[in-house]
Amino acid sequence: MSGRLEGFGRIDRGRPIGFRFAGHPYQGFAGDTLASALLASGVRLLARSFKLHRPRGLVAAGPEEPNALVDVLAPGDRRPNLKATELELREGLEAVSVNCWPSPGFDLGAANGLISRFIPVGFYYKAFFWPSWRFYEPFIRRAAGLGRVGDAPARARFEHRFAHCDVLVVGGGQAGLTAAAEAAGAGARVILCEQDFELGGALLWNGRAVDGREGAGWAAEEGARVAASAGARVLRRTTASGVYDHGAVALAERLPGDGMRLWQVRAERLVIATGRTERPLVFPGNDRPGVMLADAALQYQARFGVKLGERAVVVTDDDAAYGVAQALAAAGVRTLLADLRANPALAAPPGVERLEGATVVRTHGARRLSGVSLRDAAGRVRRIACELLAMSGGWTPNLQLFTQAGGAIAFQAGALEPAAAPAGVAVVGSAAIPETPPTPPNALGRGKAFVDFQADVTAADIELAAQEGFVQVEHLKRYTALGMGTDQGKVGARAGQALLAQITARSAPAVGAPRARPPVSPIPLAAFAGRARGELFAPRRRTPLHALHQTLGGALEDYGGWLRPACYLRSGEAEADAVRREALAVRQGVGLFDASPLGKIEVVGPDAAWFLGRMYANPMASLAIGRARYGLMLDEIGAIIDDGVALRLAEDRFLVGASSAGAERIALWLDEWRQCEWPERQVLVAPLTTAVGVVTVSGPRARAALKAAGADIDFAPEAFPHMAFRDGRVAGIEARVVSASFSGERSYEVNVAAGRTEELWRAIAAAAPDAVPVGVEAWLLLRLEKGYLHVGVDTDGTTAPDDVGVGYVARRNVAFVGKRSLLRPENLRPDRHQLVGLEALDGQPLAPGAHLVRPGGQGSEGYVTSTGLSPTFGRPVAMAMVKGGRARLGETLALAGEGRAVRIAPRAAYDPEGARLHG
Amino acid sequence: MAEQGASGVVMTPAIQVRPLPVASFAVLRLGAAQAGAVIAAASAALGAALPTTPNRAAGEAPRALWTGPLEWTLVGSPPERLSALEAALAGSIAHLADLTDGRVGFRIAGPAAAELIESECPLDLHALAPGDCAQSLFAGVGVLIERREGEDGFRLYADASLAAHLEAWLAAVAEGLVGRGSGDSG
Repeated sequence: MSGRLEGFGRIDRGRPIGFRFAGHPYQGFAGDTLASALLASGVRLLARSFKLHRPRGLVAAGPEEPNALVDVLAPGDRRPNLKATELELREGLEAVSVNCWPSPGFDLGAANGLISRFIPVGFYYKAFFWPSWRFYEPFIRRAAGLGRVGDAPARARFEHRFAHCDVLVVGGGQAGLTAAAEAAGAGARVILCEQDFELGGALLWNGRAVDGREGAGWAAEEGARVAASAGARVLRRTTASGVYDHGAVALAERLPGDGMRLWQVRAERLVIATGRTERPLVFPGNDRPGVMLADAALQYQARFGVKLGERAVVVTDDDAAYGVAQALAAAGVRTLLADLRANPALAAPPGVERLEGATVVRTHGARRLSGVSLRDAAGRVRRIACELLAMSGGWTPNLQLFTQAGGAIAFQAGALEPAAAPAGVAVVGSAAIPETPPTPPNALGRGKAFVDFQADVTAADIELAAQEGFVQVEHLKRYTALGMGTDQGKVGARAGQALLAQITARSAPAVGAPRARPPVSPIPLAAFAGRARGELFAPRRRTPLHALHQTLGGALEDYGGWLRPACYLRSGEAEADAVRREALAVRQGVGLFDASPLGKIEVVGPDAAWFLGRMYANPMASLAIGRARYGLMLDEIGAIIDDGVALRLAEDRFLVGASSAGAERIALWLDEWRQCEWPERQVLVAPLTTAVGVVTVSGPRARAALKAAGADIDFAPEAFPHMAFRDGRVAGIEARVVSASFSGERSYEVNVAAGRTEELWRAIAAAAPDAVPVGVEAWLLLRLEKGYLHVGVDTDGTTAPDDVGVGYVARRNVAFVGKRSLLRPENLRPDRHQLVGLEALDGQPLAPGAHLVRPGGQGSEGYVTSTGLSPTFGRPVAMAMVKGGRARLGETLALAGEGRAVRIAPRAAYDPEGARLHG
Repeated sequence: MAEQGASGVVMTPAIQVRPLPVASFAVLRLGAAQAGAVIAAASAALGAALPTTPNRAAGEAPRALWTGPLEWTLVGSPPERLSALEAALAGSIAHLADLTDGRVGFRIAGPAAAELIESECPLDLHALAPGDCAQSLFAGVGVLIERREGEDGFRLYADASLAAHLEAWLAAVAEGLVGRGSGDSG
């Protein structure tokens, strides 16, 4: 019944290719698509429709295909929703239909079709609102769907590429090739992209000659000439999926194995040669497998050598399909031409019977077309047996990219066409030709007449939507799903708009057309991720002690983009035990902590003190040389963005300490204010962070450990007080030592050249064998016991200084960034969230983020920000943001949803007087 | 398949990525006051004219790269040159940051060198002439890219804390690149 036509097509009959579809083995040839090979193998039923599970076959032959979606299976991978018309046949290709089970031929979901009259358009909105949409969603999702995403991570190759060019030509048909060749010949850097695997567009099947040469041969030669030009690229299998600002165009290049390369191209000029798409005719039963667009039928026959049947009917309201009827007849197919127009101007092609003023009454057949009933102008109905019904409702230019680029659409006598093009954009070839005006659809007879095949939208649905008031195209689209399928309505949406115009008795321009949003064709999410998966997902910085941490058993985790040891595990030790052991070592002995990620930014110049006075909420200009001071930085709305310790190195020189996560951000922040607000001020900002490594020695025996390592610095508390720094040598290494503390114990941050950090650590560890490596988790517990602030954990984007107990800064009689905002009524409310300590009365740990309520009451009084099990006290410690919290010390609250009692307490559970910092 | 040899991060016929030992990496920043005179004095001390055209580089040891208004990155300065520079800057509004321990460098050569970088960097490397430099992103992190006169490919500098990240990305992207900068996608 089916097969190939001898002497037709561009397939390589010497290279057979075996593949599987829906579990069955088939054979095609090199040069086939999955679609053409299936047609040649006699397969007509490829899919079930999205909502109604109706049997569906191929409607188109290119990227506009609405029905033939398949999942491609590969070992350990499943690539969903690929179009059979875009899948190049390859040996071993295995594809299955989407949305049918167990197979497209025997589909249990087809029962939906039987009740279809009860699920009209908008049904889901109307019927499933009680008790809630969520109750029904899983069932509907299972019944109406597309392909399945594989369970395993995608194994196909996904990657990104940036490119720049003088001219980007989208579309490798005759017009695009001509434009690209001309630009390349003029020496321009050209990128030509073509969605097909062959250049030539319609030349591959329309039989036209170019420059006296056979069209497909001309295209191949012209393409090779462009590709050979210096700086030119020809990208096949590449869909331009969107045009964005400033000449940016996204290209999606399909890679072998169904992966994808996403290109971001910046083009000086954009040439749109995207061709045009044939529209379907809307008549009852127009979705039966065997009914397809006339030009698609021609392509399957002329390009792929597929014999589509013994008998064909071509239904058209347009002259172009006459050529298709002629080509079918010339290939030996008995062809009848049914022209919907009463008095067509063209003569019938030789050997083709013609019916004028015809109407399609219905189509016949179960899972494939067996015939069609036509009514002639005199009202007589004839049933004609055929295996192919080729339809043409005229043509519409493909202007998705043109409109995205800012191009305007106009209507001339009801026909859509491109109007004014923005600068640097040109539309050429058949994309520039006005559409053939859509004619009113066939009189609606019995049976469903489909407008949008993929979204299962019928003419009756559009009529119903219009009756219900959805008369704007954008509303119609959302209510009916017209044009919302993975094909983006390339085939059917325009016919639907024309139908709406007819139903509402409005002109085409009054109805308009929705703007086609990117992507023009679907792009898998994996392509957006590209290679950024697994280890490559996000940058994770390493400290200069990375190798040392590994040898010490450090459990490395991501803290603000830095790989840092959570703790150092001894053999057989649980993580919680390690954290406790490390924290107690700092309280009772001495710990070594890698503080290298701390931000270090030098600020120098005659105006450095003035500048930092503006950038910190706390006073900085008064800081004495040799001393250190803790400070908060605020943004313009007065919210805390970072905290840290600043040193005054000299009259005109400071070292700003930023948090680890804020190191880069704060350097940019300072430079932005310097450059944009106060360019006349004499101050320079120089980030040094990763050039300097830091080992923090903390605990009551910290001083002894440093002395043992050998230092030319006097560590006596009177000589070297808390919040001061000294330059000197530690273990023979040039160092700057800062006495500042995050742990609550006497601490020394020893700063050295990053390359010598490991040497420093090893020297201290060797000189002080009792020194214990301390990870980030113990470090954070120690600060929690002490009630110190952790910006970004205890604070959010609204937290102001007063909320964390530094409210005096708002009363300072100087200007600084964010100050004005601190005086707004919002910032002066007494019931703002304030940071307080929290005690769990039952001694059980508290969950971070847990909300607090009044006992027996409702409504949040605040929430837990930091929590942990105190190694020092053997009980939970926590901090919370509580409404007006500082005035509520001692008050008992309850955990929301649990009822457990907690008491508001001072922040510092440990050494609230700070005696241990100075000892 | 990219081979990771002992001598380089990537060694394929199309791409060779080698770590570039950086003996000295410093950033010089000057205040706007009397900048012209300070630039002249600094250039004399360094023995290399600080380029005043944006994104241009000059000199050999040190190589001075314009990386911002009144900001230069000095690569490979002999210690005595840096001392001379410090002396020449005395009394001026200036800052010299020694970032040697905080930066890494890579040499990226081979016919697919530009493609390798363009895979993850939005710069137009075609527009980067010999003697040019530019700052951009590669694989999401800040990089300084330099194209030297008479040298195949590019030099790429980045923060030392990101060395492993960059090496992993360079190796992953290089896999499969065969050096077809133009032509037909096949």
